[in-house]
Amino acid sequence: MHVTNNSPPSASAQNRALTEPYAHGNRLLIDTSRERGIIELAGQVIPAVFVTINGMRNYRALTFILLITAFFATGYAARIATIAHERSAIRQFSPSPVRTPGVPVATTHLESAGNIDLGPLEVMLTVLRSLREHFVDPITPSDEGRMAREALRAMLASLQDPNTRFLDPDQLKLVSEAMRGQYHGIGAFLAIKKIKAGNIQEEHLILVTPIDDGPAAKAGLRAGDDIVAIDGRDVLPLDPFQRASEVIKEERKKAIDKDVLRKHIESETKRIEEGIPILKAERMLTSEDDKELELTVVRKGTPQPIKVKVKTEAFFVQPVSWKLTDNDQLGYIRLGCFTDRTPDELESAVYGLKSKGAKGIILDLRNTAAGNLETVLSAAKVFIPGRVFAIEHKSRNRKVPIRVEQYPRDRVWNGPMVVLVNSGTARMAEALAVALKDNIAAKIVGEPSYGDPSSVTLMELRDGSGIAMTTGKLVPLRSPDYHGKGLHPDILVASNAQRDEQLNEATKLLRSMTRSLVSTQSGT
Amino acid sequence: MKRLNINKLIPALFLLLSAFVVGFIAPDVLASHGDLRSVTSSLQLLPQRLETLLVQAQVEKENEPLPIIETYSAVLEQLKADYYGQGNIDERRLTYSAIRGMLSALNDPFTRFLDPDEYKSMREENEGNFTGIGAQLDTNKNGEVYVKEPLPDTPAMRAGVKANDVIVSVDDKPIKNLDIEQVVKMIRGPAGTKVKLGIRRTGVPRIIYKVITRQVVQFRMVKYQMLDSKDGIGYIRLYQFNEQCDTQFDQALTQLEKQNLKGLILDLRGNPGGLLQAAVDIGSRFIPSGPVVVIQERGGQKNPIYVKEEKHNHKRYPLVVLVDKHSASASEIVSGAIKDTGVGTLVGTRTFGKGRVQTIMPLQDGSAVAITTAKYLTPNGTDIHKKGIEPDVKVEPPDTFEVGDLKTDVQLARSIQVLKVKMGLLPNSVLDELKKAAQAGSTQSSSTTSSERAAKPN
Repeated sequence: MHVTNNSPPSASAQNRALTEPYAHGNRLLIDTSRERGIIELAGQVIPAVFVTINGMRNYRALTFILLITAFFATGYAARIATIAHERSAIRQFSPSPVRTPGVPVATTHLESAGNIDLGPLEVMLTVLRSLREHFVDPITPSDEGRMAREALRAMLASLQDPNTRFLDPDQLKLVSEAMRGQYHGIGAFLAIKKIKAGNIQEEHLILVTPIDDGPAAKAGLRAGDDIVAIDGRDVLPLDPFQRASEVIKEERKKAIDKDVLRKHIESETKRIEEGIPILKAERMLTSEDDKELELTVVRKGTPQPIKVKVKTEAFFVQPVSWKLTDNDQLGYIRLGCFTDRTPDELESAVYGLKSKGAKGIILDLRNTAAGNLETVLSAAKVFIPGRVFAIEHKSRNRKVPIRVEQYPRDRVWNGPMVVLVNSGTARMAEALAVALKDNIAAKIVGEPSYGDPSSVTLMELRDGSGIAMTTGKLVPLRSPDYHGKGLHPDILVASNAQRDEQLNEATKLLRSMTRSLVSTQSGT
Repeated sequence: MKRLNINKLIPALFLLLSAFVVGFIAPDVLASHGDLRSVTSSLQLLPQRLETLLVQAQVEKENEPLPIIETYSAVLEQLKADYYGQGNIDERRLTYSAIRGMLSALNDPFTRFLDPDEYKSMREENEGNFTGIGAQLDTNKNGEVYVKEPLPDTPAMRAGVKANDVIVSVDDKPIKNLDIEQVVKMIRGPAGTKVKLGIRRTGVPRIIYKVITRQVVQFRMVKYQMLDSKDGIGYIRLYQFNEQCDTQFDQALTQLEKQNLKGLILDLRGNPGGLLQAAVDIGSRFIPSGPVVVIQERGGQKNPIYVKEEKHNHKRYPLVVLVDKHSASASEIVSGAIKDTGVGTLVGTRTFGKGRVQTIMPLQDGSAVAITTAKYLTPNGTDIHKKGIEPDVKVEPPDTFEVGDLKTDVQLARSIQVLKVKMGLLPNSVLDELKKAAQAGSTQSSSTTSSERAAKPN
């Protein structure tokens, strides 16, 4: 800017000039020829600007152009900010990076966007507005955060799907810690299962899998144990009054004596008052450490409930261990859990066995549970690289084949395999067992597995809590669907407390497989 | 001084705004590669985006709690798109659950959601009538549904349905093994329609069939009785506070006055409350002047609700009010006002302790939400919430008793004694002894259990 008086064209002078040009009489004259160029440039962009500023004093026109530019820049910046926000919003509700490769969540949003029923949303909005305006104690932002969480919790619980639920921040943290191989509590995977008994159907807390070397395994708890009480306090189902009212109704039908009925009501009330809600019980057993608990469990085949003392603790799990039997060169791999390190460790186990000349491998997946799909797809690469792991059935009739990662051919295990399973073989471990069977004819030995091929997606919300949701089902490539039934082994061997009959049977089978392999090889 | 020329200012502002808008959609235009549709859609989305921006700025200040509606709708959309589990995605049910969950976070059991069915039955209760046949049903020892009492002047009474008739079928459908609620649902229906009941009556060898036309039936909210015609001790039991109860109460009082009423026992035991207006109406009948109740609005402002003079259409009598741990809400407004003003004596056990006023807000789809919108205080300013009202004379009920039966209903028997003292028929020493006995007994009295608290609706 060129100024004709002697004062230097400093920013402050200019500022003052812009705000109060006439007030102190220091009128500024602007070299119009130069400025006109700019004005004309602007005028070319937006002719309207030119028309307007023609009637103004020239310095005003400049101010105006600066303002226009500033507004333009503000608008631009604002839009950039919203773009960032929209991206982060999509990220919030998109699956965590460990999920199924393929369909991004954003597209599924758009697909369903056409048929949104606004009715329920409006109802919800009206309730919230009424609360904000009228609730006796003004609602604080932290109240609203809690309300959002409870709304999600109740909404997901109403689906009555044990895999679809709201996770508090600490529960979500447990999931990520488990991914790193650190476990808490009694060291077991638990499931909330609905079990029907008589007229009532109640949720039970089932121990799905005791984790290797965890307190539960050490205390002798087994897969399938139904945890009915902790420290003598009953584990209560989600609706504890269901049983109470059923008991009262039954009693009333035959009730002759009011005292008997009253005693029943009193004992039920006491049971409910002293009991532990199932979600809290689950939390006690999976997240709290350094507590001595006495669990009462009901075990199939044992008439009386068993009491077991177990100490909760934080511990790390060795995901993979392996050995080679000396006499007949058979490899044994124990895959205890799926953590971040599992793929690498399995890789080195197979490498170790191969380099020592193992003829066959027994993969022990008994009491192996959880895990996420990505880890399993990476772990399976040493056995079935690039193959179809399973077909994932998803909503809206989508069927997506899921493939295992690629891996150099020379390092892949291509000998005979036997896989050991039991009722504690759950989720990804079952899927791995059946994928090995369908792709390279591995034999499965042991007991029927847990039978839950659901694929569950975890979503993190921006306040640190999360949502787990069933988004698909893994259906085996060739074998029948084992959902709810459990994977049926090729050779059924019951567990035996004294000797490991299952392992013996697997060894025998593998030995015969290696021999037949040798004979066919020598025959050709 | 410069003067602002409005003729120039308006286009100038307009241009500034346009510059902002152009700036705002510029990134989309640049990314669109000349596709005009994306530019128009970008323009359409402008208001929402600006709103997001403002909300976002606000949220960041508040340490990012989850925004309720956005989170809910995002998760709902996610479920609709990708959920693959057991059970269908029923938006209405999911939303109702979400609302219930949201309300549970407020830790106020009285702020609750009512689905269309629940709201309908609540409206019926408050209006005090329903369409049916007007027979009070109950379950007997054998689990059968029977008529406890046909209400006077109802279709059931006119059709000759009698007390203790066992209902065996409704519209020729056997009702064996059905809950009483289900039977009630079958019997009720729109006014003017007919229902056929199969009835087994003791002494009659075959099933009796009655075809009854449904009508609008009023709930009987008031039961009255002259307990002692010599001393003129009248008894009125109020079951609930609804739109009908004050009229019925007025009639009951008139009837008792005809029988030479000299002292009154008002039984509010088991009365869960109801409408605030009804409580003020009933309270006005006993309180000479001043407020019946003080409503403390959100924000702390106190609005007293004063006695309605027009309710003073009866003489005032010595008064005893019977209360127990189930006397709640409107019952506590009435008994609290009576206690504070000293116009009557409270006998029984401590009341429930609900000092909150709910407003029912109907929602778009026939459901409703009850929101605690205010507190109430008794006339002298006591907040009884979660505390209840202590009776003047404490009398624990026996484990089993029949309400109104003077042999087993100890509380009623005591209240007659108290009333007689007030009427001057018994010496004051009787009252002192009662109080002493109550103090001795109070140490072993049990408090209400949590389950009972949770079960109380109103």
